[in-house]
Amino acid sequence: MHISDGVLSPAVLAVGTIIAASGVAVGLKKISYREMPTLAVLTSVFFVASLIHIPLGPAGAHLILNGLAGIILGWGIFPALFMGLLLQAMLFSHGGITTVGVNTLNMALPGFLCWKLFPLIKNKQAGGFIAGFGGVAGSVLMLWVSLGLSRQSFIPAATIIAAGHIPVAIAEGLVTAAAVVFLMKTSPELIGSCNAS
Amino acid sequence: MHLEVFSRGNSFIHFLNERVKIAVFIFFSFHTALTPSLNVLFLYFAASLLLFFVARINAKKVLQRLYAVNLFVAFFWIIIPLSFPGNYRHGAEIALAVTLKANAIAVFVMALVGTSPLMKNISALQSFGMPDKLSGIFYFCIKYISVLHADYTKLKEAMKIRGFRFKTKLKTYLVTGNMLGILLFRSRFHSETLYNAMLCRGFEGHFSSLFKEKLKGKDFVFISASFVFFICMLWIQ
Repeated sequence: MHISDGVLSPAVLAVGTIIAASGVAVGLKKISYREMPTLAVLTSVFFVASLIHIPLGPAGAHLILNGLAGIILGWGIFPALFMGLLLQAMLFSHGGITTVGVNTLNMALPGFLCWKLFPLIKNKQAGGFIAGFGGVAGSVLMLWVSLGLSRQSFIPAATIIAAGHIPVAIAEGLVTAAAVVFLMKTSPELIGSCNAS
Repeated sequence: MHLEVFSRGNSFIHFLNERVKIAVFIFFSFHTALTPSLNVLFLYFAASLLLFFVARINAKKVLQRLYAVNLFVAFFWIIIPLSFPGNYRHGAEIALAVTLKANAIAVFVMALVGTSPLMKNISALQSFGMPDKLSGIFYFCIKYISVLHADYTKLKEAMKIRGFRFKTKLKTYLVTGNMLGILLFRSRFHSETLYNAMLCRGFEGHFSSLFKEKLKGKDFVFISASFVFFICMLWIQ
């Protein structure tokens, strides 16, 4: 899911990095010092959660949870995912260092849209599923676009990667729906806890 | 959870200043990612191998990481006949460039960034102008990753003892979601503790770092050698 170094064209890298950097800047501005520890700890939760492997038929996948991160963090999703991806690249060589901006944008933007969409859905279980599914599906779509814009000949590869992520998106939707229902019962104030406005 | 696999050692690179290593790393990795020239890429790959040998980091762990990197890269080789019908040579050149770039940068990360403790790296990034809020979140986040990983391991063990097995079925996903809910629920207490600790210490919006070392002779040698190499690469390109 993360794009590794050396794949994207300079133009895509530059545009993606600039948009992601603006998102991170706005996210940081909207977070007060009171909310900072919450954002930091939640970022660690999502980092640890991304190490959880779920079985998917013969293969497996790790959780991405950008939909859930969006619902909980709001604007904070940009700095949170930037940090998560930078740490993954620095510590485990997952994804890339030069592509960290594009990867942040690809993951955070769909999550951010889930945050906007979630309050409009009455049934929170369905809302959780849509956020989980939509988060991954949106990221895969953006991955497809960034690979396709970098080089047209990457489109077949990007299409195969995208198709492979449909089961992941469904599993992610189910996990997110269960987590949202749990949180609505136990700590509803956590939903949207890192968005000052 | 042990995050810093390569940070301990007594090689030349381990004793270099983090600011120097990160500056060299940024120039090398961005030029590697952006250059179209295969010759330059071969030289950067050779440079990354040289750094790996000088840093004397655990070869087995490096190979494990590179294996993961190359799984993604291998995909571009397999897909050549689909992506470049009739022009396999051009396709192979592009796949080779992607392979060299991804591997060289991965080794740069391990040999240059990985050989310093994370906290020192963040302190170096702070001195390069990373915003205070971001570095604060970074410090806390790294601190709490191990705490939350311990929480997660405990929950997983408890589930195992009760006979739960991860399988491809609806129940597994719902239970995983609930487990995640518990982790998020508990994180509230951690963040309250953290906030109270900040208040107790009289937090004023700035994170001071304890790591402030001056550049030494070695640092100047390393940065000059890297600079000469970088200029040569620009010239060859």
